[in-house]
Amino acid sequence: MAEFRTSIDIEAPPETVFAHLVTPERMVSWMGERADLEPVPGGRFAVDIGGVPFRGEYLEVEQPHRVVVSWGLAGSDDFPPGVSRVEFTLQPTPRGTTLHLLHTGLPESHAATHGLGWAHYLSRLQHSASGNPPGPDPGFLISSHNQEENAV
Amino acid sequence: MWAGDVDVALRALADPNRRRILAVVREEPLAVGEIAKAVDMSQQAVSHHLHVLHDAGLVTEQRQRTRHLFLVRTDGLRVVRDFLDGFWPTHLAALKAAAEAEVRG
Repeated sequence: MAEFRTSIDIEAPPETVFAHLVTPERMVSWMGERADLEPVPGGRFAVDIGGVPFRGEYLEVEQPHRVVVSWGLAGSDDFPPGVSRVEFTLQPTPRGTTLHLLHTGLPESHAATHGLGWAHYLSRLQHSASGNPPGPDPGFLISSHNQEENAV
Repeated sequence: MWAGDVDVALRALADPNRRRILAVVREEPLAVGEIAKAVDMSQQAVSHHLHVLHDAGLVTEQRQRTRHLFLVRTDGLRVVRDFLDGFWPTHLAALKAAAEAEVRG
């Protein structure tokens, strides 16, 4: 299992950054095109990124310091919903917030990274001014026996 | 990997039919006819899409006796995999922009 760790300084208070992790309108301003969020422990975390359905649950919600979600792909055998875990830790600073991100439990199989890389490709494509954005296509990674439970 | 590879791969992946074809040849090498049946498209259309995917380095060809088969190219996947490292930095940069824009009002 692989992990990814990074951090970024944001010139906005933790409360504002926190809001971007728990409200659908603000979520899609930085990640994905559709979000269905229920920010309580055990609540739904569903974001479509470039048509790829990322699904999980909110595991920890501590306003405005910390959000932990489980993270996987709907319908994927290699990278199912809940298999990995993303921790957002918001540390107040004089200029705003340092956001620390830790993504653990990333599977290392080709198929799984393929799915993630794909999402990244497609979201880049959507944000590209010169591109021709593809419509949502949640079907391409979903096997027919495992239909979407959390339709957004 | 250089920028040209990425642009070609992006264009190849922009088409939902090509993404369906890639998903089908991810696990095992298949002939054009088998792919066409799996994605419910004509062989002619599948051949066209395979040509684009091949040029983008995302599928490779194999010969098994008289059979001409297509399979996802793992080197192509590595290009995609390299991109994974960009996923969170790209999105967190967007989060920073969104949060700071909100504060500035």
